[in-house]
Amino acid sequence: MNHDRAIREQAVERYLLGELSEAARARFEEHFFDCPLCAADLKEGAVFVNALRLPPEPIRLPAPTSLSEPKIHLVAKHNPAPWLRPWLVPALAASLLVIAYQNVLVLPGLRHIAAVAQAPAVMNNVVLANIDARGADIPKLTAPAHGSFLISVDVPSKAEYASYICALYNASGERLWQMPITAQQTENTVSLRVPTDKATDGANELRVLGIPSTGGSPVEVGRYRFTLQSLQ
Amino acid sequence: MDFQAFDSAYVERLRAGDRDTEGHFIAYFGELIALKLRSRLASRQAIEDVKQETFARCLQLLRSKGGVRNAERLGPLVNSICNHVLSEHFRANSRTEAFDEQSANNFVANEPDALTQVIADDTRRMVRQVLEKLPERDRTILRAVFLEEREKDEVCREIGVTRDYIRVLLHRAKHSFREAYAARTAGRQTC
Repeated sequence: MNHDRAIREQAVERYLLGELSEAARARFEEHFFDCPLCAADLKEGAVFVNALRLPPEPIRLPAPTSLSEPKIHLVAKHNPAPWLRPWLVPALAASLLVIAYQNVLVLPGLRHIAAVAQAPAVMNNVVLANIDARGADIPKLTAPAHGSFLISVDVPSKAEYASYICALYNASGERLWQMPITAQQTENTVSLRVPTDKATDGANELRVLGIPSTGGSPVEVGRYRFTLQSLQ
Repeated sequence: MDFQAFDSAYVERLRAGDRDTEGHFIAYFGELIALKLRSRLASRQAIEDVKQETFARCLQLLRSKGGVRNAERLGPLVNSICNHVLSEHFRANSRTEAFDEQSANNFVANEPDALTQVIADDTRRMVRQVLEKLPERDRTILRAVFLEEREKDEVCREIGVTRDYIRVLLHRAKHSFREAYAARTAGRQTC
């Protein structure tokens, strides 16, 4: 594929919309890795599309045109219809309250969360060393309800496993999430950052499964229990 | 925008371990690799692993005795190495697919990808401004396709447009975004 053809076929747009076949996608990738114009166009498009995918912030969303604009005209240019007058003042007052609430509480809160996420911080940590721990041996930790905590686990690595999977289960045996771990990562203590709301308040169990190099199903290599107490 | 020429001088600087050039190389191709991988790999961790391995092999090849013969084809070389690493990743992980298909959520995959996370408030504001300038119907289409991730054919049927229209709409919106971005950047530079 050359640049003219990429433009003619709207390859950037098709790529962003996920409309290309596997072969066409591979051809366009071969091209945009070599074409700074298409690469820049694609990067910008991806930023745009990613921002579109973010849920809109309530305070900044334009209200539906059909409802908001006529109301503004009514206040600015005309007298409201008689039937609307009883509703207008309470509606505007409610809107102002919502805006005030968002400005005073929601936005500062979001800014605080963003600042906290980017600032260095000490994270609550649980070290999982005892496989199948029971009773008093089960480690406990506390973590902020909407924050994160750290799990440090020594995966008992063996040469027969090509890689590993860490999966967290709640007390009912329901899997909450899983993530792959490479064999190289298991050479040291593996640290997992876990959002508190991705774990259960109370008993949790981290299961580690090895993926055999020779094929076959994942094999459980260890279960680690811990108790989480989330702090509001 | 970054119109970097990948010529023999650039490759030579990479071979010599020039930190600025290496930083540019990783930033420039890192974004492209992430774009390439995000439709193929579910977890951010897997994307990061493949990306890192791709860079490790690229730099190893660049600094090897034979080096890279055709500096102008550096981009396709990176893509090709990435394809190899990706194939190996799929082979190594194919055995876990049955496990992955179970109903559990992979929280890594559900979180925004790295690209999303670096979208600054400023960028988000510009995108919103672009959206606000569009007719309500076009805003609805973009939100339905990208935010609600609805089937494009269904959106087309519902709103009465063609798939071509969505592509042109995206192109126009992207263009407006670029203009807004350029204006903002120019404004900053004159400050």
